[in-house]
Amino acid sequence: MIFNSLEYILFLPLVFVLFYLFRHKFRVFILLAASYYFYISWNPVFIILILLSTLIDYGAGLSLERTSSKSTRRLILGISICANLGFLFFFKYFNFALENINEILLAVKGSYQPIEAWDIILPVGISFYTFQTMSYTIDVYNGKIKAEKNLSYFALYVCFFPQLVAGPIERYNNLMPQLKEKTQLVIQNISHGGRLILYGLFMKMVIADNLGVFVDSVYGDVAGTSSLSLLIGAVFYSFQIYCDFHGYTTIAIGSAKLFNVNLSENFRTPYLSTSVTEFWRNWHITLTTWFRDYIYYPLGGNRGTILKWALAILTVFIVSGVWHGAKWTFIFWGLFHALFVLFEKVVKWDKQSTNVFLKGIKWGVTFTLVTALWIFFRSPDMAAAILYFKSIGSNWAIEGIDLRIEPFILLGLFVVSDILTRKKNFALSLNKIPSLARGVIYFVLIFLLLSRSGTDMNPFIYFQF
Amino acid sequence: MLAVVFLFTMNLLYLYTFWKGDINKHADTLENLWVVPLESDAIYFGESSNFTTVDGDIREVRISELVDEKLPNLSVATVDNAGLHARTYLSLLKNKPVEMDLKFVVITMNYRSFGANWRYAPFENYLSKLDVMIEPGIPILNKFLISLKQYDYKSEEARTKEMMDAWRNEKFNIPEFDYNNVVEWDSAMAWKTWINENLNLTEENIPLACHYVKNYAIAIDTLKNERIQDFNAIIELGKRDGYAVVLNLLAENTEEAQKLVGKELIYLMEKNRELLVNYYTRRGITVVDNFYNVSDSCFRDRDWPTEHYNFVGREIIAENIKKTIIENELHN
Repeated sequence: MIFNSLEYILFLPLVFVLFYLFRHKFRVFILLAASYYFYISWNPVFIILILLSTLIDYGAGLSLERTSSKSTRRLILGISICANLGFLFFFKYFNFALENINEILLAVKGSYQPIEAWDIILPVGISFYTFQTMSYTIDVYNGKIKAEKNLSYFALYVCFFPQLVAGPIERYNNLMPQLKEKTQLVIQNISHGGRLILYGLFMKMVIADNLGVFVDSVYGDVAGTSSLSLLIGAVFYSFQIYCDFHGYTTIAIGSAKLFNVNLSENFRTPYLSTSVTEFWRNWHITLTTWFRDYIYYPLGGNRGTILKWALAILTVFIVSGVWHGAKWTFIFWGLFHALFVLFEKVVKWDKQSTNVFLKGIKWGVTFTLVTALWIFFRSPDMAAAILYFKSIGSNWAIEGIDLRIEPFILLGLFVVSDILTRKKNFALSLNKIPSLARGVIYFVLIFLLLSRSGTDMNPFIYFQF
Repeated sequence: MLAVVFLFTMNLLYLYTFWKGDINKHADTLENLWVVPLESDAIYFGESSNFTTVDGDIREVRISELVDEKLPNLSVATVDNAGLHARTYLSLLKNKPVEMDLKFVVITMNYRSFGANWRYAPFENYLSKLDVMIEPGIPILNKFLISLKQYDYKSEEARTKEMMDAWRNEKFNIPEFDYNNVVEWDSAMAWKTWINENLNLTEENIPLACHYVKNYAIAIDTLKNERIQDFNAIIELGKRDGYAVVLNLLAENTEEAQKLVGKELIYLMEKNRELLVNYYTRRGITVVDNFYNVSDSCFRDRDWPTEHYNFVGREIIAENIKKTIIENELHN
């Protein structure tokens, strides 16, 4: 079940009605049943994996609290992390590792019968819920939070359906108190939740899916596409992936809001950033903060030597690349981001300035770099990514651009709305404007959603992670 | 109430702005219906058999245009597009303007469209989308439904699996013959574990013979076959809207089928032809039986079984349609 489906449009109100129909003590079970049903609709078999992950970390949390022995506690934490990373490695990286082992052995031996790849399906959401449960166990280990004793609530923390398959990656101490809180129907939250769902669907179905049509056509024939189309394709992909993921997250936040749960913000107009460093403070915030808290800080952060700090940055970004997928393109994407962050530090790029012209230059350079690096992200392999860059340089003689004005208008509308909602999210931004204007905005959004939503098969990009 | 007003206004705005462009993109066959004059007496619904010509044809003219010529007192319009079948004709007929007072419609009945190869082809995704897009109702909601993939969308792998399952599970009965489903027969032919006594079968034409098996060895279950259900729905629509339905059973290359595969395939094809003709004539429907009317020399395509004819073939079919219409007094 995806957010932009008739099934979800029917599922969400049903869960909403059942949630408020029943007393508080039953609500955890309603949300749990709904969340498992939501997950089973993807692939029933993988419910076993999420249940296993839940039980392991539930048990690990309780065990960590019951023992004070350092070595035992390290062992318990180790088991939890190894189990979660083990699942992740098997389902996501096993074939990639096998492929590279085959290549290395072929290069070394000359002649070699490669080991065949296994037919492994990636369970939806595994990269998200394993990180979420690992954060729980690590926080219990570090004494930041108490272990959850109630299995139902813990299970709900792991699988709460709005954020189950693609985040935001929630910390226990943000999500759990809200799940446990006895709440009433709050009209304002219904209104805000509805606005966010509408805006999220607009971003995904109208903007991302329409831009995706042109992007797919460009990436489908890079060598035969004009340089101008390639450049436009690169910019369109920047916004496609932003609107796709931001759209998903906004729907998730809106859906959770209906149950009086505030999920974490995941995006803050990242394309207005004037440095790559700033971009990462505003893009996929919950993943970035996860890496910051559980990899960057334990490696010393910026407290040690310059070399130690540089290694921490490289580690975080390479791991981030690996997290996104089992391909060298993702690893290089992460590596290049790390190098730019390091470079910015060296040249003091982030130094505050009131010079508008200078800010403009910084913005332009940052946006160009980020867009250029998305080419690695989108390309199926390194050769294709390199071909894309080469073709931008060499295909100026190829004429023709098969593109209508509509995607540009839609993109322009989105950019304006993104800038206007920079300080507060869309739902809160609407509070400030008169009812009539609000009505016009709803009309336009719903009209565009009904009539201009993309029709090609475009799953949420981050579902593949 | 506000929601109803909103929706009504949005739909109106949509009709004036994006609707025609969306029809062109997702359901362009409907545009063929739009240009049919309101005063037309009949409409011929067809697929590529209607308009495909052969190099060197005496006249590059459609079957439907020949029918129109042969019935000078009637105006017979054409609605056609490649790959269409009964379900699409049904969707199009639901969009017939109310003011159009038809005497009859001619619906192309392509034998191969009853088979799994066609029923589960990847092109079904487009046709299913078309059906939703032009479903009478609120056009802006239809558009949104196709954005939500509320049509029979399946991946190519899923369609291939459906096809294979149907080929395996839909069993036919040919006397004194070892195989009762397409998978086994096709496999036996491909691996040469079954060779008929027909000397026309060679290494080069075994693949073509296998295509004939896959396309023509059909087990038609009148209760479950989707095409039967579609034709039945067209007939009901005709009864409701006051026009006669004429089913044009197209000619198949039975000579080539005999030459390549042999009497077993011909037996099955004849059994199915008889089933279809009897099934509908017993229900009072006019069937134009063109099944054996066109000889091998009139068929255009030699590497795949199709219903693409040269002018002579198209003319034969049109003449038969004309005769049947006159015999059944549908022109009055």
